[in-house]
Amino acid sequence: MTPKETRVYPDETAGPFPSPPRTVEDADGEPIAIRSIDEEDTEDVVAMYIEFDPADRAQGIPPSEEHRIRSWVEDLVENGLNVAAWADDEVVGHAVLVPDGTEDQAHELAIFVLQRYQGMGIGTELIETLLGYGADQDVDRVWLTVEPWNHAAIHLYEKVGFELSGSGSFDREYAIRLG
Amino acid sequence: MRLLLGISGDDRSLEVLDWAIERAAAAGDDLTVALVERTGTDADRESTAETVRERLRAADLEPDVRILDGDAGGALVALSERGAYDQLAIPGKGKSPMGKIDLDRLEEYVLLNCTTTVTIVR
Repeated sequence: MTPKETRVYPDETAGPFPSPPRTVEDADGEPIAIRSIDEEDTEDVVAMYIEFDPADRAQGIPPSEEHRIRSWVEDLVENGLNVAAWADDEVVGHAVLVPDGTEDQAHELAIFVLQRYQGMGIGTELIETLLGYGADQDVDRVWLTVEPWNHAAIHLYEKVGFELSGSGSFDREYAIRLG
Repeated sequence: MRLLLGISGDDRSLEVLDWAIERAAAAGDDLTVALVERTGTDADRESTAETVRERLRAADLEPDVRILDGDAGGALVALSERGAYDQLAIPGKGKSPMGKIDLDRLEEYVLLNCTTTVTIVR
């Protein structure tokens, strides 16, 4: 995709986005708590990914095997800004910003929602809260890659203000600038 | 089997080279190593070529090393056809900060244009 040093971000900033913690309702009226997470929450996040359908993998993540899931989640919790969505005591969605090592401290974004909780507005609330959290932490450039056939995800990203910044045969890149 | 390995000389290149050498030596395959220019790498291909020849000789393989100029994908695919190779292998670009797999221009090009088997080595 785009070499990281030359990635182009939109001229205008998107937002403002809501900060965690917050509680929203999904399409069924069920309360969903969204908050930032740390090491204590690792196992709850791992549990979500153990249930996660491999068919919804995106570019190799999340891993399928429990060991790998746990190492991957531990790395994300240690190195990134993470928020999770809870239905009762269960993590049903996870979104994360990981620094990409560039001078302008851009972050890569990923978001996953458990299949049985998809299509209920949780993805939108989760990504907006993550972007709010990122903005609070002075992150102002965020990018992501997505498979071109993942229309639901592309729709979500465009809805919250991501703009296309690169396009290959197998994936597209989107970027956003936070205020 | 005739394997054509396309590498740029960056750090992963030599790991992937060792993978290819081990396979070729074990299976009695013919291995040709082509050094290409790949976006994001800045390796000195002449000195890499020497290193590659040494490793091939050390494994009792023919030190068949070529330096290909110009567009890497075009050059590799053309060579794979002219040289009647059975398989073209290149290193995969590597993962994003998140761990996501991505395909760079070279991987996309060879997957879409090479008429032989293509292996992306991860």
